[in-house]
Amino acid sequence: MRNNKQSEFLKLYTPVHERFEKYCRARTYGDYPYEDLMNDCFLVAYDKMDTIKDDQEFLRFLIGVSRRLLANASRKMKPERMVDSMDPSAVANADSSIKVQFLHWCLSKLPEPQKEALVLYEIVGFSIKEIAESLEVTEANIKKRLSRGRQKLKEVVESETQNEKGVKHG
Amino acid sequence: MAKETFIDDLFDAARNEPTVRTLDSVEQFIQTTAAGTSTSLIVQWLKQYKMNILISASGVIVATSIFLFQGGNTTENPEVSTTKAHVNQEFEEVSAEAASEPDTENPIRDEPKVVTEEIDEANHEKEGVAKEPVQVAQAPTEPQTSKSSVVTSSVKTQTTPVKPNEGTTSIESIVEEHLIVLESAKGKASAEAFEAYLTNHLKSLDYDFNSSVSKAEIRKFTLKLDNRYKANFQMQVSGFDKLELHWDLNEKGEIINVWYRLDAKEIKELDFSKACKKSVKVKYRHEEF
Repeated sequence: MRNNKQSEFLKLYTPVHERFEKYCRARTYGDYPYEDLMNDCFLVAYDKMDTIKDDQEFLRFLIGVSRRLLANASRKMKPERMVDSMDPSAVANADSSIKVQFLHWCLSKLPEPQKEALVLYEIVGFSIKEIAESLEVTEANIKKRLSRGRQKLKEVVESETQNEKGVKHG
Repeated sequence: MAKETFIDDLFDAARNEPTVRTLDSVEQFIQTTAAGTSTSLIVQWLKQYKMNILISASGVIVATSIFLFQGGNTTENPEVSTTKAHVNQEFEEVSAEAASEPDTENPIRDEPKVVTEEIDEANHEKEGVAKEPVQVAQAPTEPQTSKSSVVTSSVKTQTTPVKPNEGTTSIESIVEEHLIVLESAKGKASAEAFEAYLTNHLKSLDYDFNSSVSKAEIRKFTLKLDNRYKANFQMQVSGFDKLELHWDLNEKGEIINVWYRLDAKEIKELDFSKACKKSVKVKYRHEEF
């Protein structure tokens, strides 16, 4: 049976579940089981939820915790990519889950700051201002990361396309 | 398809894709783990194996040799509140004793430093406290180990299979398996043979483990061989940063030391003492080794 604290926690968490889950999946791809990351964040959040006022703040808090956990994990783990290569031409016509998997994989090739900014902006739906506040950097800096991140993402996609063509024609 | 459009298409898919993990599973996790079930499991496990708890804070050994919850039944929710006073009393007694003892030579300090630092770093980051060195007390029973008299109780390996109650099987059964491994590995001639034996055994254990234990309870189960003479067996349990099981081997590959380390989080919940917040290490000595 739920007690009050559990109910309060779920009340705060439910509105942000979807976005937080997507964030964790995008950020952990190939490096860390996303459910583990979510669970770790829940444990911290459950402990400190008294200090959190609303769901928007709660989401930022969860993301902040997950960033710290990921930073720790990246020092400890040598990630093994779940997917080594995918065929982008097939992805274009694939169903949604394949596209998402491909995107996560491409994002995993990006430098951390660019990846973080892109995930928060494009997938979680944070505004530039919100991202800047969460990451404690300037808005100009976030804009730069987004721009460079997209450019890098394009390069990754292009590179994969060429690799696949090379494999097929070679 | 133009690359820019293709990327937008990918992001659209990511935004619109339904969640994989359901809210129900989150709720279940909160109810079973964040709310304290795994704390109970750990407490029962500690009780079952009568661990020596070695608590250190600010680099000073403050307590040791606490037997948890002696005489109670392993129920799903042990009466933490009634046993707390008992534990605290012991804690104060041993704290006073430990405070007067010099910190002495300790083989655990030879443990792979990277492991210690990682754990401590994680704790500090989570708790937001200053990073301070952590030391571990040493049981006096082994000749090569210590002069310390801080640990006053030694414990026997419990090799008789434990019959855990329903809902408490996960950790206990793992520990039981673990001890069986140790028993079986005793006669191994070399460190290499031991490594191979252990690795193979743990691989199979990992499989059994995952099939029998709820994912919500146990997150990770890995073996890390830092060098020929140390085998670190790490188990991450939800609700705790890390529960580590370690073997130290001598140059012949014989096990000379077996010890465990447990993150401080649950100890804080049990309120042993404010001093426990930073770091708690659990050590278990197998006398026969």
